Amino acid sequence: MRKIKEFAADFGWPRIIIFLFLVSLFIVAPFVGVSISRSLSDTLNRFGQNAILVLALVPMVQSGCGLNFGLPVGIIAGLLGSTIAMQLGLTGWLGFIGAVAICVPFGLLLGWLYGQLLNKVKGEEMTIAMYVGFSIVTFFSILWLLLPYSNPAMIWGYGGAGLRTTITLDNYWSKILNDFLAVRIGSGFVFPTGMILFFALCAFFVYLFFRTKTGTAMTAVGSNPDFARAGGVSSDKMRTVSVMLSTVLGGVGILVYQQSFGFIQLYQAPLYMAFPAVAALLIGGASVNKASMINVVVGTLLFQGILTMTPSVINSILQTDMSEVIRIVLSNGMILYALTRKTKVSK
Amino acid sequence: MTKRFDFKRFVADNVVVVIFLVLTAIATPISGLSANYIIQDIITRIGRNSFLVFSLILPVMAGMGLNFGMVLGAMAGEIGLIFAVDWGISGVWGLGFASLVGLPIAVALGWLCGSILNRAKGREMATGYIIGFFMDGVYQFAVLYLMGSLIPMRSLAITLSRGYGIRNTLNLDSVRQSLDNLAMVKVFGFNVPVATYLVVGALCVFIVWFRKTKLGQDMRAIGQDQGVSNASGIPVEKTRIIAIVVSTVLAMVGQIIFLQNMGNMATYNAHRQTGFFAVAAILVGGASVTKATIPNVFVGVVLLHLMYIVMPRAGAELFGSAQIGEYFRDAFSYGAIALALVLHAWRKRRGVEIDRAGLRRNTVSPDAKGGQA
Amino acid sequence: MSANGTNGISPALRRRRIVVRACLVALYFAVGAWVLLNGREHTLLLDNKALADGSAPAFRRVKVYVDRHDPIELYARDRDMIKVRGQGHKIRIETNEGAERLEASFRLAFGEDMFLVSVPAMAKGDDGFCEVFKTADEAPRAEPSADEATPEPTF
Repeated sequence: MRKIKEFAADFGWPRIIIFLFLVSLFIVAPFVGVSISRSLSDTLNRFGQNAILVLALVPMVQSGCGLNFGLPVGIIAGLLGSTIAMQLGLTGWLGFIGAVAICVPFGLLLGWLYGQLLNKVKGEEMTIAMYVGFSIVTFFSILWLLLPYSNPAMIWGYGGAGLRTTITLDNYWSKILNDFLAVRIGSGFVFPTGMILFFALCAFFVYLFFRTKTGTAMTAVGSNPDFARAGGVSSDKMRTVSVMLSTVLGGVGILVYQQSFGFIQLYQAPLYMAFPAVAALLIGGASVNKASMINVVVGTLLFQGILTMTPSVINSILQTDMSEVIRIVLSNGMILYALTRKTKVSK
Repeated sequence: MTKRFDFKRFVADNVVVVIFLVLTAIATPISGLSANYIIQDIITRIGRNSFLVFSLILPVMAGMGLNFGMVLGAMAGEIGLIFAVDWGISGVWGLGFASLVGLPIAVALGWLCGSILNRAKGREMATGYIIGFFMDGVYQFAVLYLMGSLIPMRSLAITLSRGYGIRNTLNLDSVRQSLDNLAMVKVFGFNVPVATYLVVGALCVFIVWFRKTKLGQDMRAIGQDQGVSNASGIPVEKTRIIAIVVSTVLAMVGQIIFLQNMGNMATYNAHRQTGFFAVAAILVGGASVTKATIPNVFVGVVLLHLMYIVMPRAGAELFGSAQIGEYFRDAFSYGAIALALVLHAWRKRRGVEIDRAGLRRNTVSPDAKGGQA
Repeated sequence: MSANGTNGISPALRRRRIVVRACLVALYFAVGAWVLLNGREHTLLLDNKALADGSAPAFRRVKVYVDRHDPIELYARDRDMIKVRGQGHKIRIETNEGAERLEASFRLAFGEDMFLVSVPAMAKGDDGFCEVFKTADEAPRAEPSADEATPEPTF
């Protein structure tokens, strides 16, 4: 009994409530005519689509930079990767791998700059990260209009200048990971093997990375900077590495998202993309200064599960579209909970 | 402390202001807009926006940073306006009624926000930002689902045809520009909404007075050092909550003034950008996270809105696309906020380092701490 | 800088504080009611039509003053609209044709949005010259029983 209580306190009541909420949604679903297999399939699909974006937050949390509200920096790198790969006319696997290959150096560069900045503003990272993200998204909105892209599939038909707001990947690498080794069970259920595998691979690499010397040093910097400095670890360097890693993962994450979604979304679309990712990580049990692979997997599954289930189930019960309100309250409530919790513990 | 004017130092301390000055100085002639048009627009926009920006001053004084939670006040004001329109209270009376309805809501929300921020010391800004998002969901729930079903609504004109929920756009005809037109005076050919300016002026007087009260002094003390304040018997938590409550109430009134000038209200979007505009304005005006004054507000409103007026036109003239101009101004506004926050954080760290050095050597002049007062 | 919080407060001070707060709440509601009553907007439809029973003809031309609003000129069978605030109002007419009464005060019911003011009836001396006017789409709302009985229509 006591153990259960301890576990609950440790795991956090909001998470348990969210978990129970999701379970009850799945229980109710068949009674209101929502197909469970289709729902599960959707959940898995959205899990794979978003998981790497959530994973991208982990390095910075571990190194003590807090929640990376500046995830759009990485997303921009990813957008550069996919648009340039498309411009070069790469299709299929070559296209996707090309996009990743192009995205990585951009991610490293932007991440390095972003990391330098964050090192100058220790203690205020989160608000600044938010606005760095907003700034870069709006700044790149200008560039999407001005950069000399010329692939007719990407640019506005009439004026001829500037990229479209959404670019379809249909003839390029749409669903390439989703369909790789995809397993179809029954009528509605499709297991997106390739995408899940790709996520597992990334998560495994990150996991391995945190077992290396650099990785453990990074965790040390995050959990106890003074101790780490005494041990001869440069905190600035570790933080920079974590930001670069986070940014690159953010770029790769958006590429996976795009191939599953089927479109590249430009301009203002990435503006608020960090918030659902942050909410998912926190729902998974991470705190502002500690996150693990389990948190990523659990959190993304729970969060995306709820996002998939609420529109269909709640709408068939209440006859109104309440999912938007539930999504806003749930995700931001979770972030609020995490932001207000740490002080209480440390006090 | 010498009062000698040091140009380099001045620029370094006000780099955000200087950047904006230069930008608008370049963009204004390119836009090709007439001086008369720009001045008239600026006069209108000062009346429309400065009250909202003023709501940020108190929390800054209390050391809580920029109160992104002010959008809660904006929501309260919007709820007040919905009721004013619904019950057919028109003109300035309608604005007064909206404020009266919004008052308890703003106080309650402000108290809630302050209590949450007390549990998130050291990251008030990010937390306040998220509270705004969170409450946006609650607001949406209340206005889209409760109004007309649980909360009785009289007017069919403002409810959705399904019977409950408020329409996406609320027509504020009955209160449109009622405050502005209460005493519209022509000065050198420009229409000046004197009544609105008087309200803003009264708020300035209130802020000046408030700083001198015991509560105001307490807030400033807390802004300087929470530990010391606590030791000297100031109820830190309570005072911080009061700062946020007052800020929320002011934002509520500010949003009502803003919307009466606009003349209609995007029920579900009107408050989304309020915090961003207000924060951008005060930072562009040279305020920092720890220091904000009345001139900061006015300089900021003028500069930011000057840019908002000229940038799309300048973009259209320069690149043949007004869209680019709009992205430009958004990028610069976000950039200005980021830069101001970065500079502040950086100065604070430098200040700490100089303090450390000072402890070792005791010879550093307080002036060297980089523009922190 | 002492005696903070609610712990060390004497009963007298506490009582005074409660009284002050109660007064503030009362003041809030008083001001609210004042604003509500005075700010309430009603629409007056000024009607210059012959009465149904033929007891008073329409004016060929009449100038109508409501409170301090600008005068409205009505020709025969004209109808015009004016928005007023508050419940007590004065109406005055100027005309070259004969009228038994040129000036009258009237009160509006707070809850109603629209009223029909018959100028000939007013001039004749009828006190019921101002009556509630219902627009078509508002009619069902006015009967709460009907609302309860039938489910919400979904358009």
